[in-house]
Amino acid sequence: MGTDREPTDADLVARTRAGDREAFGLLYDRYARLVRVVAADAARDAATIQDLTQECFLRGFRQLATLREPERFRFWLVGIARQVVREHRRRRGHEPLVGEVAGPDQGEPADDADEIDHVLRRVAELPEDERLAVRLFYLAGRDADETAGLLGVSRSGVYVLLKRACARIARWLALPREVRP
Amino acid sequence: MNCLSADRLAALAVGEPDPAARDHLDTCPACAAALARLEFALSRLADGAEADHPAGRQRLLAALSDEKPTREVFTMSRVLIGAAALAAAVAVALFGWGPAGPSALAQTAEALRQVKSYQCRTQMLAREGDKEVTREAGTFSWAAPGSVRWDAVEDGKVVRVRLLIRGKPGLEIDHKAETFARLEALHSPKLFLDSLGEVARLEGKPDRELPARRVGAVEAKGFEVAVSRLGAEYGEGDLRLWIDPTTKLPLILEVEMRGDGKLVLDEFVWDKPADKWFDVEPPAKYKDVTAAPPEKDPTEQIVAALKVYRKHCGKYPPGKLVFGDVAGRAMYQAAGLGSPSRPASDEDRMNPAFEECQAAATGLAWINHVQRHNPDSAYHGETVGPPDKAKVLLRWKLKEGDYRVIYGDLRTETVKADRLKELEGK
Repeated sequence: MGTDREPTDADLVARTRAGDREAFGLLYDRYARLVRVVAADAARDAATIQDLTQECFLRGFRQLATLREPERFRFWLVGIARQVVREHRRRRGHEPLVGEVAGPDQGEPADDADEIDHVLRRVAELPEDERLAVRLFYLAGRDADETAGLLGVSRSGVYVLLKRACARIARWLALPREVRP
Repeated sequence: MNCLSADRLAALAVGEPDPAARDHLDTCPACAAALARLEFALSRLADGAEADHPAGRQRLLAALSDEKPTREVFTMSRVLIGAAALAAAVAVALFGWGPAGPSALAQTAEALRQVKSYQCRTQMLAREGDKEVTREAGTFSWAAPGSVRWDAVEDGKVVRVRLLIRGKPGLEIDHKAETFARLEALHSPKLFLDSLGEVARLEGKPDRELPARRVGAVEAKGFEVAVSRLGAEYGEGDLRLWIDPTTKLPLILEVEMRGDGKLVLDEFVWDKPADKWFDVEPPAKYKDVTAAPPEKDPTEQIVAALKVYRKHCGKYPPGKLVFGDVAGRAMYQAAGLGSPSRPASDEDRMNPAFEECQAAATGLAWINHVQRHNPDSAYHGETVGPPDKAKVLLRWKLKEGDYRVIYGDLRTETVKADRLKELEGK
């Protein structure tokens, strides 16, 4: 006797706590993309991003008993992901990600690919909250409220971060290529 | 109008209205191109989200098959229940001995022994800077022959309920998620007030007298005692107790564990009718999320946990019982970590021992679980250590009637009842 209602995050958390691992698989389906975006803040190669994503979900599973508000699972999970990313970056000694930047997509025109490559390099050097703000904002379909929730800041705070980060990127993009950092 | 600054381009890129800037874009191809370039670049920032999702999912679920079930929702409530039992036990330890003749303390012990049920308010407090803040609050209920109920309260509302009933299946209700889960029957012989007889045989005096304290209209007399005096398994801490001079029953109990906050029990109501406290009928329309029986034998996890505990503490958890929270806390402290009942700090996560201690805390909780719910289990951490290769450290009865045995050297074996008697010298 089921219900047609899509299970909420709180439903899936409760089922996971009760031993239903497939329920956690459904949470993975919902939020793996979100976690990968946060993980991409630590690395650009797909294998490392996948490893970090796996680590985030495993920690989430192990710590699920400490989650006080199951309906806020995704915000809590992003908190874990940010911690995993910090640890990874710390292990790497705060190196910029330049050396890891993936090559341009073969389908991109060379100029566009260069531009993307340039932006990704520069984004890696932004402060953490700005980096995540722009990544999550575009992942969330430019939804400022969702981004605010994921970052744990106010909506106006998100816009401050976004504008600051975007302005930096706009300035970099405006520089002639030969003098770009 | 001059060309748009980087700040105005950024504002446009994040969707802020700026009619003047929009008008400028219509007449300035350079600025329009700059905005398009910026928006294109930004739109690619979420590209890290793309990956082989099915492979990642499969990998995760495969890893989870080796992980513990995470159904212990009430981490702090286990502390509360254990500490409440401890507090009540120490109350009797304090007042159950004395010089020959019925002293006032002995009268208090006797009064406690006559209690058939009680309810009290509970608060778990933690120090944050100069302030003491409430980390968890609720109502604790106990009724003979040793069943307990814990109602967790947030913002004045009961949000979770846990019923552990002696000899009968219990119930856990999550009002927020509108779910319930059936719990195994409670069998632990030494969890609550039914251990009073043993505790009351302690000898000695309270460690110190405390200043009297006004509780309502009553001038309550106070005492303090080290909780370790009740048994090594209770860990390190102080218990403070204030007594009603008329009824001889406690008015306030405080248990302050070393480095892990303070539990306060007050607003006691004694011998209240308890027949409705342990109703195991879940609320209508709540979803049943009862856990399937553990898929795996916990032996491996328990042994792994004991190895980690031994590595950091040089011995096994002492005492006759393993209170998961208390033993976990001792292990964390020995490993230079914070408390397992608090969120891990950045420093904790950087500690090489963090992962193994986190996993071991779960194994220790399994020992607690076995002792609490298996009607025929025994732990000998009080007398058995790593050198005791042939001595039984922990054993419990399996469904088939045999016994799982973990020896002092952490070998494991399944034995018949007769062999167990030999091993335990019975």
